Amino acid sequence: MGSFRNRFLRVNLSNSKFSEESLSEATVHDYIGGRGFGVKLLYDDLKPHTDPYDEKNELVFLSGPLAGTNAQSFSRLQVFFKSPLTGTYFKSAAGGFWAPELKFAGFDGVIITGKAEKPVYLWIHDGKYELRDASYLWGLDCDDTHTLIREELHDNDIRVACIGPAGENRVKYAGIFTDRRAAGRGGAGAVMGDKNLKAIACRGTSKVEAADREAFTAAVKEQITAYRNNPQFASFSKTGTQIAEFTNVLGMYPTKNFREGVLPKWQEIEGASYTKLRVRKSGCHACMVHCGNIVRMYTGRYAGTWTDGPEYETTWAFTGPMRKADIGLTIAADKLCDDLGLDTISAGSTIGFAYELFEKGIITKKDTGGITLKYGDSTPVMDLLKQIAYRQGFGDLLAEGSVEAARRIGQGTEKYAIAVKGLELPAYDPRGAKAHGLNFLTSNIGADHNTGYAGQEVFGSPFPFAVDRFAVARKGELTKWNQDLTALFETGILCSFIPSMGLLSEETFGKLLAASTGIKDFADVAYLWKVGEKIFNLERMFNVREGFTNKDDVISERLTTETMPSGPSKGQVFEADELVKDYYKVRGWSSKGIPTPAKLKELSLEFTIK
Amino acid sequence: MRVEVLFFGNHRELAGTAREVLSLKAGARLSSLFEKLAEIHGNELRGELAKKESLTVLVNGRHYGTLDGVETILKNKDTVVILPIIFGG
Repeated sequence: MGSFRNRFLRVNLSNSKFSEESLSEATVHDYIGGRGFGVKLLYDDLKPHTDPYDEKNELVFLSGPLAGTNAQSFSRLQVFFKSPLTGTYFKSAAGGFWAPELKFAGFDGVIITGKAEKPVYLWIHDGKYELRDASYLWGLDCDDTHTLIREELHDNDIRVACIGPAGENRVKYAGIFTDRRAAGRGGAGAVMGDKNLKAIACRGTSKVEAADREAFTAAVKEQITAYRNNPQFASFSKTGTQIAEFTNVLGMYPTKNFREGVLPKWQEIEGASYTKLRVRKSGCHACMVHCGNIVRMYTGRYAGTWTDGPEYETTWAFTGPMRKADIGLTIAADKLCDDLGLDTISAGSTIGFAYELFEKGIITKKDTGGITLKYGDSTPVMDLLKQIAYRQGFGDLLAEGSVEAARRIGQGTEKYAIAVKGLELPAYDPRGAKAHGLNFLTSNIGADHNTGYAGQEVFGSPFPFAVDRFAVARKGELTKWNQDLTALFETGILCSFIPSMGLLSEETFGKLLAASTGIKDFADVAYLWKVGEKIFNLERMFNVREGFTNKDDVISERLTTETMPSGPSKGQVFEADELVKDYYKVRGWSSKGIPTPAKLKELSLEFTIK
Repeated sequence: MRVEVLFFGNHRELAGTAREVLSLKAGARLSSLFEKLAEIHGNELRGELAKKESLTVLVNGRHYGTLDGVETILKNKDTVVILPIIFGG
């Protein structure tokens, strides 16, 4: 099938057994690839109510059908698993070079089950594979793990996806890291640590060839031309993901645990401030955008610190929750999280939750081990991140995430945990962008911005239609559109920034898929949309099978009852009930948030009807 | 009436400032503000403000495309944000 080889490696760590598998032609046709395969594999393989730390939980590492080719921005690795943080189906993605390297090594994906008796890492090279001892790597940070594996195997071109101490210690929001890119959200690293799997290293020399080389070359040219002709390409390439100045002037930069929408002195963390600290650009395999930035601090408390990033979400995670705009801390904390293997969003948000409890006197220095958490002072963050990763002292509680920490603390603190389904909200206050918030509410993995980013509200994109960001009308329709479009493109594991900017059309994507795989139906845009909707509904049915209903599509009451006190979003609340009701109707779901049998039949998902 | 203007990116460089406050006639439209900015800061900024496909404008935190575009009527103490088309997150 051209660039998709239909070759998957299954590894049972409990008995060190390997097997090679392929998907049926029908499955390939019906799910296309990437996220489609991920959810289908998990739905079929996992029994309902499998504990995320049961050896039967799986970690599915997938490359997309276009990874390893010169089609642009398809190099992402996507990992699928049942999350210890949310209890839901989960997907998490990282850029970089790992996914193409897996293709060069001969495989489309790796399915990990079981638990190893002692730390191991998986080494995949040119169609061969083996488990190797990782005892000497256990406890090392992500950067060192990359270095030592490359040294052990005498090849600096090896690509590594690994966990740091946070994953080893099963921090519920530990991620998987590859060349400083993170599949950060949802605790994939914790599942990997629970399986005693330190890393997967891969290296290959085979070429990834398209089924129809002539048509594929033409489609890639079409894609590159579209990038160059879009003004957002140059803008995004220049500044990267930093938009703190913009969300502040929109008044939706979550500050003080979502109690304010504008961060004092936000000018210190605007994009131009990071550009001044830039050492060089960085990027992913076969992506001309090069949105990454290596930055370094030269002055102040964090002088000498460098990082690959921070991205916008991380900038927010270490400023808004502490109500302090310290650019040096954002750089230092980003690097520390990359080293320790932590998701920056959940880490920052959970620390911010603790700040509010400290302010209210619900926790004191007795609880924090002598640390004072005071708004305007973000210096405790570095120590807290280490405590979290190693589950030491107060960090052991924060390592559970804000929702579970609130449950353990009690005293009504649940309302201060700003999360959906256990996943902490990212850097947007839903009161300032209603469809964006509706996506947080209804995403199948909890409050994830990359599941249905509402660029129409945040950036004023007029596609498929222009909207007032504060309005409620038509936001169900818009959210479904954004979510299904994202799922459609994630069959190719396309970088999520690309469709939001309008850099790649469904038509060009279809041409790329059809030419690379040789499957003609993939060029049919209506078919692609149907598969996008199908994927979203199958994810939903995975969660329904776990017992999730509309009662889980809820958000902290702070956002639905407290109006934004000041700034450009002043007076706004998040009208969750009205929004979600409209959304269910548009989706063809019942009032319980469950796809109706008719909808499931329409999407050929009858097998999920019990 | 007085209107606050915030500039970012290339527009800040062309304006030579991050913020300025301008006096406009009561009931002036966004287009009048653009004209005044062009008079003050020169033709290069005028050219950039004419590139609708690569321009982002907020009036009191609302995208001008969801208001009346350049025909949006401004009020005293309004804040107008002007920057190149932006994306990230």
